[in-house]
Amino acid sequence: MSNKQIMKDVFDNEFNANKIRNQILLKSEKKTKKNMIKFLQYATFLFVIAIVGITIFINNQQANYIYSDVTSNIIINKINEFDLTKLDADIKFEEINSVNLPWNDMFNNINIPKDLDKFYGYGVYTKNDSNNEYNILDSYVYEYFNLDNNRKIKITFSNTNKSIRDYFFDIDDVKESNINDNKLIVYQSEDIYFTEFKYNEYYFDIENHEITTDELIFILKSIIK
Amino acid sequence: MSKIVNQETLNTFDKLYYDTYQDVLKHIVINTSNIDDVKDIIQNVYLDVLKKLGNKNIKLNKSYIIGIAKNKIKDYYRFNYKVKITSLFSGIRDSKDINLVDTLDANIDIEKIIIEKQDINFIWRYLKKQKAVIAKIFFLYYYMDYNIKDISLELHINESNVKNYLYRTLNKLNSLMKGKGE
Repeated sequence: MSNKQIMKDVFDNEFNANKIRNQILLKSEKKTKKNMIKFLQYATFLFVIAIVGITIFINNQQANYIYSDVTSNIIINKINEFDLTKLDADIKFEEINSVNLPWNDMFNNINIPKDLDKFYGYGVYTKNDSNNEYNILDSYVYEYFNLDNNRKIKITFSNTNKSIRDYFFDIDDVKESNINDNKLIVYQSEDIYFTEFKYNEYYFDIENHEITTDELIFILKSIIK
Repeated sequence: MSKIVNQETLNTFDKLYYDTYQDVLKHIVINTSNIDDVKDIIQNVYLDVLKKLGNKNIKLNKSYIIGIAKNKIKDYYRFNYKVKITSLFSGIRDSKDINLVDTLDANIDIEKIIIEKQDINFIWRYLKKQKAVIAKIFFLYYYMDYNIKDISLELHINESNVKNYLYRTLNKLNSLMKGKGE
């Protein structure tokens, strides 16, 4: 074999166009895959950061610390309409003569806003399965409202059980408040506050419509002494 | 075949590649400081071409690709901390080249020195360790079919030096390969 052929083979072995072309395409494929993996890793990282950020944001939105003094610490748990689930409670209302309403004295000292000068009191009864009559007293309800019926305080209470509700809150990580070492939970959905607590052996459920936060705190502190 | 590049792009790439490959290869060989770097650099050049294929604002032709090659050579040596390219056009001369002219017969016949054994890997390993100019001369002479005169014009060294480099290297190769075989 001549020098020419030998040396041609030497360089062809190194610089063969077909061989290098295939190596280029393979490198391009590896690079693209590597870039895709890097992109996916980056996207995943950003996604995780976004989820964490949104979670922190939602948590911050959910619980809103609003009031604190020596004897109380009120934290509002904000809920949206999706957290509030309505139920069909099988109950019956029966108006109660004001003379027979329990805890008259206590409720005389509650700080109800002056414009809520209308009152309606009733009992909530559930069905007795043995005779199908609504004669099992579940709780009492005191409603204080204004003339236009847009501002309202509804206090439901019972000394035997938590009062039956026609809704429940589906949220995680509920923040507790306290007044005079009594625990309570306050929720807010738009212009409605829901407060639940146990005090002096009574279970309370208080629902306020278009009542300010200050008025709410005033009411709660007048009950929980 | 690549699974990432579509067929149409591949066809365009192949046409461009085979039309320009020899010229781009020659340009890179002449302008690198080590022939062993050529493969990496040429791959980088055509990877860039492949990337630019989708861009309608770029007219990919031989001149453009040679331009890419120039940049890739610079980048390669900048980022790989290799020996800075010393252009053969700078006029720097090795004093040994002058001695070659003095001590060897100008009429030596290179073709009379035959490499008796054909170990292409050995030859390549030897060539890439020599001065860059030697590998370039061999490349141009044997692979690109340049004659001595064209090589001297291309590399800006005189014809005697071209001949002498060829002669000495072939002799050395031959004696090394004989010794290897024994």
